[in-house]
Amino acid sequence: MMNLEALRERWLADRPLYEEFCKRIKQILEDETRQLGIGCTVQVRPKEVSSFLKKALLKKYADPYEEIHDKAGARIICTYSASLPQLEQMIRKLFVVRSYDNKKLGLDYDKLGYLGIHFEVELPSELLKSHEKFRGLICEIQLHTHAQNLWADVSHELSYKPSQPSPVEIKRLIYRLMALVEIFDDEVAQARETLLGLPGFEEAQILDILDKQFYRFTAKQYDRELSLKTLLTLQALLSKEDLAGFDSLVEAFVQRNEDKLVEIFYQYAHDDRSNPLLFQPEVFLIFERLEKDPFRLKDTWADIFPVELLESLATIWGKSI
Amino acid sequence: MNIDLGRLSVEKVIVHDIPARPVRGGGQLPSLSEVESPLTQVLKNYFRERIIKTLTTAGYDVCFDETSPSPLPTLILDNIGLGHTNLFVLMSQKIAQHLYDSQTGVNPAGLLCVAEVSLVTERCLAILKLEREAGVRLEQTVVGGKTTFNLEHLRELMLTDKTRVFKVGLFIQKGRELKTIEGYVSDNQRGYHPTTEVADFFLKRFLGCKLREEPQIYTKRLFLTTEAFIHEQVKEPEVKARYEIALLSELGSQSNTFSPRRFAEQHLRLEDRQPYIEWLSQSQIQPQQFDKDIGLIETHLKRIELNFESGISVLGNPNTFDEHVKVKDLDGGLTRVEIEDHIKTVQGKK
Repeated sequence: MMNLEALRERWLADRPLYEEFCKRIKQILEDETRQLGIGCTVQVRPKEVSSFLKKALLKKYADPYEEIHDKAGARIICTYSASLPQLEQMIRKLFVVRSYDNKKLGLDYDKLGYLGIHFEVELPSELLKSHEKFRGLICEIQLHTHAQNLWADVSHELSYKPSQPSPVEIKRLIYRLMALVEIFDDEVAQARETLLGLPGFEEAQILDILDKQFYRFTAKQYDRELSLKTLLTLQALLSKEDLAGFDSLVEAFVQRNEDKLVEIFYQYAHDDRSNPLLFQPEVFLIFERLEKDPFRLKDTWADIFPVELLESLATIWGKSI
Repeated sequence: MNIDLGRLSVEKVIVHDIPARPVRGGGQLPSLSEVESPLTQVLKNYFRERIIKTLTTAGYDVCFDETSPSPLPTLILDNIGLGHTNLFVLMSQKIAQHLYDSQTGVNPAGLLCVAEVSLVTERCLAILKLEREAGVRLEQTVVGGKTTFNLEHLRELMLTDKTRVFKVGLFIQKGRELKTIEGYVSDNQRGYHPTTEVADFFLKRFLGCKLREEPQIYTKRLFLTTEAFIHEQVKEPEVKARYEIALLSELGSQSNTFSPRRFAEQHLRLEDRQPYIEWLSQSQIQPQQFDKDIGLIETHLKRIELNFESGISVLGNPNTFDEHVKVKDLDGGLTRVEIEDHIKTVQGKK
């Protein structure tokens, strides 16, 4: 017979360590996703005591304490399904993977269901050297798109297990919702790809490239509408060659100035009077043009914003225009 | 200025209040802080931006003058060259006292800010002299039982222009000797009083520095380098003539300063501006404003001359040339010059 009180006491005693473990996992995931330039949210939590006990009661574990592997849980929620393979690769590189479960792979072509990707991981030995106390701790990491995450949250509300099976109409309703989640992600991916390839959407393509660099330096959310408005004008500063090789152009600029960018983003992270364009992805293009041709930048700038705004960015970058 | 000021970050700031010093003696004594001012990241950024803005608009390279009696070079060397940073407060007080002692009746009251800053891995010291409006008092505060000034209040005063940055000196440690400390100074009073005591007060008497290159030589280099750009990089004769007239006119004007950046903006086509600045940069001429001294090129500025392959020449004063002479490029490399004026004399040239 399970000693529920002993289980509760043990989890209560260990939970602070798992809370610390979760924070470390969050930091590792956020640093790495930022480095990769993937816009996503990382959530972590040590399992709630009540949730831990419910799981122990519901599942038929021989040793519930050892067999419950999601005592530490992390969720990475990304915007586009195209980012999932990159995130999978990232997790394999960062951690020791104890188990992997891609829910989609287990579904037949005529079946619908939850599509998340789950990992059970431990810290690698090089990280354990400085965090010996985390040795043997497992964290469950779930990878979701926003749509999958919405489904994961809502499905909990629908997943009652009554003694009677659900009516067919209700089952059908749930299946239809599952199909929508899958269709939603695929349609978003396809629409995005098509849009980025269309003539007249150059600023969106530029933003897509800048966006990746942006998240390497900050986790702040930016105003997409403002970015598109700014880039609609600033793209005139780019030659055909610049546009064709824009990815490499930005990458090279960021590499050359990586330390400086880190310092600036750090110094201004909590400066509430800082320039509204500093924490926008287009700032990389602005800084790059301040180096390359500040006169053209200033000339074009006057069409969209007050010159004082550019002067302030130039000062932050260490230049005068 | 071969440094990237974008890498600058402010670490410590201390402010001292320096009153005016009446010629006949008496008056108030300096009010010296006993400890650094409390700093937030916002305040650090604010001072960072003021230093960068001032130096990138009108900063020039300086070095310590070994013949100067000013104690500043030694104080700066002790602090950043020899690393005696624990004496920061004492050093700043000595600098403040020296500023007060050096003043004559013409120097207005002001605030002296001494800031410990870093530039990548190099230690630096920034000295800012601010002018405050008469009657404006800076709030004092107590930190650990010692008095100092409230920088948040200072920032508010600077934002309302009740206190303005007048002069900035930035010194960068490159070694452990005086000659290895790089200096950059911006002083917006120099341009207005190029030959007076007021103009030299901050640079020479207070800081104990001198310009790394004499303005006469720098101005001549600017002139020759700009002419070379016009002749070698600009193809169209009409544009060449326009640029040359503008150069002679700007250098010959009454203004005591010249800014290559402003010259480019006002007189060059958009596509020529950045190449011009890069061209100057190859000759170590910076885009920011500098003190102009045309002593070595005065005769060049008095006349502009257009010489043609046929042997015809047009000679004139740059200030009125544009008004009377129109130059236009024609097909086939020809140029048409129209002169609209009253003929004064016609004679054979000796």
